Amino acid sequence: MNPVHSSHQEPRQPPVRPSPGAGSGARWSHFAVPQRFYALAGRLIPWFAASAVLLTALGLYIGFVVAPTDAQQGEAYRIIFVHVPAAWMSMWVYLVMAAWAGVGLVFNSRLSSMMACALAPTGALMTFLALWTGALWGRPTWGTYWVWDARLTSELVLLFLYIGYMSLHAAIEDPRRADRAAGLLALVGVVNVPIIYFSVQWWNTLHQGASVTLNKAPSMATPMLVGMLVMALAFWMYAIAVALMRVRTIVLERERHTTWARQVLEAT
Amino acid sequence: MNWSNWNQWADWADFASMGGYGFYVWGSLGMCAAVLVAEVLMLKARRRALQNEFETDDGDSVGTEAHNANPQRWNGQGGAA
Repeated sequence: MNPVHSSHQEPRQPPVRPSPGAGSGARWSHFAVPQRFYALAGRLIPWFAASAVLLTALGLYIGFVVAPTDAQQGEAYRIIFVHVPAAWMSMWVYLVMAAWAGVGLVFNSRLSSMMACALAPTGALMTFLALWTGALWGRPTWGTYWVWDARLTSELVLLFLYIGYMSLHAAIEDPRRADRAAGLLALVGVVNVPIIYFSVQWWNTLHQGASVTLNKAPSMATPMLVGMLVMALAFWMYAIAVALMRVRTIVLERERHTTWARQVLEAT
Repeated sequence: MNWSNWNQWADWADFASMGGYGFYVWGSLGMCAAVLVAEVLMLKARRRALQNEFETDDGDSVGTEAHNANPQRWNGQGGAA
C-alpha cells in the first residue's frame, strides 16, 4: 500500500463547483436561472407546438369522421371534443399556476412566479372556452344557454379568479411584490378547483356527472372517448407551448436591463 | 374503431348541418379556433412590441454602457417606449 498514491486517487475534498447534472437537485436549479431557462424553453416550444397541431388534426378526425352519431343527443354531442378538453385544462392550468406561485412564494424564486404569470392568460382563455362551448351545448340539450347552478357558477368563479390574479399583478408596479400578492391570491383560489370538480356530486345540477373518472370504466363509446382524450392531449400541448412562449417574453421584459437579454433582443 | 366512417355523412352539406345542430357545433369549434389563434398572434405582437421598444430606445442613445447603467430606462417595469 502506498499512502501517497491512494490519497491521490480518492480525493477527500468535494469539488468546489458542483458539476451540472450531478444530482436531480443540481439539474433543477440549473434551469431556474432565467437566462438558461429562456434557451431551454426556446428548444422545447417547437416540439410542443407540433404535437398540439398533429394531435388536434387526429382528434378532430376521430371526433368528426370516426365517432358515430350519439343515440340520445344526435350530432350536438360533438361539442364534447372541445368542451371537455377546455374544461379540464381550465382547472389543470389553475393548479399548475398556483403550484408555481406557491414555489415562488416559498423559495422566493423569480422564474417560478414568471411561470405562474405566463399560465394565467391561457387558463383564463380555457375557462372562457369551457363556458362558451358549454353554453352552446346547453341550449340544444337543456333548452338554456346559462343556469346559475353549482358547476356553471363555480367555473365562472374560476374565470374571475384568473382575471383577479392578472389584474392584481398588473396593478402592482414592483414585479416581485406583484408576484407575492398575486401568488397568494392564486393559492387561496385553489379551493375553488375541487368545488368545480365535485359540484356535480355535491349539488343537484343540470350538468351531467363525470363520464370519465379514474376509478371506473368510462361510460361512453370507444371512438368518442379516444377522440376526447386525444383532443385533451392536444389542448394540453397547446397550453404548454403557449405558456413557454409567454414566459420567454416575460423573462425578456423583466431582464431587459441585463446584458444577456439585450444581446437576445439585439440578435432577433 | 371504424377508421373510415366518413360515409356516416351523406355529403358535405350534411356534414355542415350537423343534424340541425350546426350553429352550436361550429359555434363552439369556431370560437375555440379564433381564441387559440388570437392568443398566439397577441403573444407574437407582445414580443414584437418589446423588440420595437428596445430598438427605438437603443437608436437614440450613444453609449450602451451608460445606457445599461441607467435604472430609469431599464428597470424592467414596463414604461412607454
